[in-house]
Amino acid sequence: MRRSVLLLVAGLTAWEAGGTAQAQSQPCRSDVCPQVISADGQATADGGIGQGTYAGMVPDAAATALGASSCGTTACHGGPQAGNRDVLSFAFTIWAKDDPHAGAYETLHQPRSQRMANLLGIGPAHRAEACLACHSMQAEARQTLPREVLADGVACGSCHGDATLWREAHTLPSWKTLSVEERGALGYRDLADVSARVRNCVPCHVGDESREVDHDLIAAGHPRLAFEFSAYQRLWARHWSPTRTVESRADFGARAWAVGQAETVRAVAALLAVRAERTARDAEERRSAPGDPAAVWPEFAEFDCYACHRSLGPRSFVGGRAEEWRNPVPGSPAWQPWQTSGAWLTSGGTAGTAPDFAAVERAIDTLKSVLAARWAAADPQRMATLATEARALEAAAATAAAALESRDHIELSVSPERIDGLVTARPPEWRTWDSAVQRVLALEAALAAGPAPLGTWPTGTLSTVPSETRQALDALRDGLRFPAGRDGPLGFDPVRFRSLGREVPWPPVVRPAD
Amino acid sequence: MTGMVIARGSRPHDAPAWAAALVALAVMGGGAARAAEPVIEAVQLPAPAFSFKGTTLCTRCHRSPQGDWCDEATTAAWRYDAHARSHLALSSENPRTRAIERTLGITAARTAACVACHTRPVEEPPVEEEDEFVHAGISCETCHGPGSGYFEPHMEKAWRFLTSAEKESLGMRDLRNPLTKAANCLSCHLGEVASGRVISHEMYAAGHPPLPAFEMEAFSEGMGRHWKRVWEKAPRVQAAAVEAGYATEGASELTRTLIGAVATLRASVALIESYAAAHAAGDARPWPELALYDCQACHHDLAVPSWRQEAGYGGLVPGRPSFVRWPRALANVALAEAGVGGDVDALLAPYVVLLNRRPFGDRAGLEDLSHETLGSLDAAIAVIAGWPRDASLARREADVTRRLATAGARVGDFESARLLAWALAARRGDTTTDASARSGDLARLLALTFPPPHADPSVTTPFWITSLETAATADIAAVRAAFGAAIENAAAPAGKAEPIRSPPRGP
Repeated sequence: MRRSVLLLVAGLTAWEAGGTAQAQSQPCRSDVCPQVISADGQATADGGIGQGTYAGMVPDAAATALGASSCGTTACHGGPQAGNRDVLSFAFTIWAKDDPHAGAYETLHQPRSQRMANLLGIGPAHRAEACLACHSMQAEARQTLPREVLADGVACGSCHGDATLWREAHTLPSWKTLSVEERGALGYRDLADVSARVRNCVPCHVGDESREVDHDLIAAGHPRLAFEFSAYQRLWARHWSPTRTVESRADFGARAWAVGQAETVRAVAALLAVRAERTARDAEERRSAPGDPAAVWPEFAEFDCYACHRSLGPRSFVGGRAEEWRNPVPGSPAWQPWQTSGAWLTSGGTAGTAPDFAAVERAIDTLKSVLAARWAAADPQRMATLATEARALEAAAATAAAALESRDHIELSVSPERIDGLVTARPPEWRTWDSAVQRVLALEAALAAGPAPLGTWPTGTLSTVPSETRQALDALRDGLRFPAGRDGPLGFDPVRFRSLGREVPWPPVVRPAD
Repeated sequence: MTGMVIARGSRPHDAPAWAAALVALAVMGGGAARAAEPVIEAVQLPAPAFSFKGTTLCTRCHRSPQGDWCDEATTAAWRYDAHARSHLALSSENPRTRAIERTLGITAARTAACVACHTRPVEEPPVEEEDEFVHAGISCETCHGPGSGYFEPHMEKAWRFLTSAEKESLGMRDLRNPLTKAANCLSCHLGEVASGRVISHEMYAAGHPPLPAFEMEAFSEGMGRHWKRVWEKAPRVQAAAVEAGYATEGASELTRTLIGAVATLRASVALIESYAAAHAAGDARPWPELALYDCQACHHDLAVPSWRQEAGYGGLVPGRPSFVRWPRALANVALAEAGVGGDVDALLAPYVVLLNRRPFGDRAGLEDLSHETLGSLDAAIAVIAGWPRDASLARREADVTRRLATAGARVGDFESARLLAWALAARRGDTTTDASARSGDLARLLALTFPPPHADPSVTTPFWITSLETAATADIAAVRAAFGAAIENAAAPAGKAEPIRSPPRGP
């Protein structure tokens, strides 16, 4: 195990380091790299189209401040994972081994990615700006990153900040005496609170002005983005110890859920505002190439996927069951069912948050009513209105997140009964699959509302949950699964899901796990 | 008579003019359950030059044979025709109608967008009491034109030898002219902005059944046509017609089918253009109107990997909705045979550019582009209409049959396949109401056969439901294989240019 870890680490750091310093660009060679096409332009077995070049083999000192090769040396953070050592000394090792972010760039070489890139006509995925924006750290770099830094995927610098100014400073004893502001001035990101962490995640997992997964990408084959911070936390292999961080707080799980939802709403609103402002500004309303972040409205990814993406059968035309509509205007998809249901759940499921979230709920309702009728219209006035309302929601969500973060203790009041009460209050909205998933995740967050368990890899944080509750939750999850080979919730029955949800045993009785 | 005045631009199209314009009312009835945008706003058209006489007057004569030309009682077939009872869709006793009314906050019987298709024009005297011959649905004059101008003249023998233009000048639409007929039928079965006949996406979402893929001749047979072709009449009548150069009946079955196909594509393009123009003129209609686009472009279950991704997007950015697709396959065959206009995909390629710039395309660009496209399609129609009715028709029949089968062998979707299959079945003389039609495989796979008109509607599954159910489980590979098998048989058509059989009528 130790040897293989060492070899792996060595392999990672030595990858592509052919040793020769080649200052000028040269074409990728198909006899060297399996991802490169042959001279006649045909794709190799691993996909990819287009001859390319890469910036030189010698890592640029400034560039590697983002990448992992400097951080991940054996003596620093890339040591062996052993019980008698501090996790800080093998943080890189865990990241490289277990963290999906390490494989982000590698994903671009997969057949699915290459097929996407072909459909979009943006050249090979591993060189396309639209892809590299999230699947590498290119968006955070000031210059074109060399290939071996791209190959790190989403590495240290993404979350901890560009290390140029603090790479040496943080090894010195004086580092501990610096304040958060002083460290921040050097570019070191303080990840002490949940807000700061979520703000690291959402630029990629939701999107921002320089990167987004829009419907063009999704239709080409990209999975849709649906982010819930606390659920992702529970699945994540941590490369830090929970004992010295916010995760040791008694309300960490609750905090991760509530603040995570608020910050994600903020990011979603900001992205909508960016899109609306961009469309309003672009008088010609033209997009010059797929993937070009020029004005594209309607942006389908802002709406309920499955409002449209369901086959029409005779039962689709049974006549409007008006009371069951998900939104006020028949034929209009609901805006962001994932995030809005998260917001409502947070508002209703966190003790005492109602005042903080009142503005958020109002802003969401305004946005939904603006987008209810004529959701696809893109005239400049409408876009300006949309941008204004979206910025209002962004501000409200930021305020709510800050209010939550400043609390000493966050208490969740989530329960099946409470959730059902929320559903009663908003009947049409809750029939979406998105809201159903958020409801399950809310219950799971309530079960994991305490401090994060020890251990640096996912431990299955629900292992102490009594079996009836877990079985009931598993039954709910089964009802949400996509059928094999499908990318949508065929056969999802919102009425049945709701009645199952009411039957989850609650409060969960603590007894030995089986 | 002057052509239809479209809301903006006043560009009467080349299609033969409608003699009477319909004035659509913009009355929204019923209490609004929500703040509804009007489904249609008032369209001011010039007052019709002729007035309606009423169905009762028509049926006084046409309930029985009227000499050797009208040698059958029209009402014998019409009494079973679904058009005659189309008004039932407006009744609040119909549960589907009630549901739509509740969702949209309207009363169907008083809503212009519903009335425009489902019943007779508002200027026509309503039917007080239905009887065996007179029905309250779509009336004679709805399609044939208001009768005050032609009521007297059409009883004269000389009438039957007048040209289309002469008949139109007296207010009767010459429905034996395939172009006039296409414009007439498609105004409801596809949509027409000027007469207020547009089903919006909101109406579909509220529960309105989808408009089926429409093939002129198949649907004419399927409705139980209440007319005969000239060559189905007595030989003496046929001879007289030929001698008089009965021009409009000169269109052979083949020509009718192909003109119908191009006219259908033309109507779908015209709908885009007129809709975009109406929106620009300040119409309350929203832009974009989703009903102008291909339903399945959005409404499909997601699968990975998917045949959609594998088939590619024909230059469209992935995920962009395209316009209604089903008229293209059959129109392509017609254009290829006409040798004019090129491939349909090439003709419609500029739309791809517009749809790539922004989802649904930009309105102004689409309006301009559609106008050009209409010109190309009109040219193709003119070529087809000009084919002489001689021995070359047999060769064309064989050609077209082969083209249909070849196109079907690579067809991509259910509705396009249906159009090709209907046209192919007609080449073989199969009718769409005869369940024992020879094109067995395709008829079964694509549900080509209409329920007989005389079937009891209360126990018969509506055709649109059968269509949706068949489409949902359609095996496109099997369809392609069935077409492929037809290619071998395409060399030897029935040998006659038109079918002799009349459709079965009555119980």
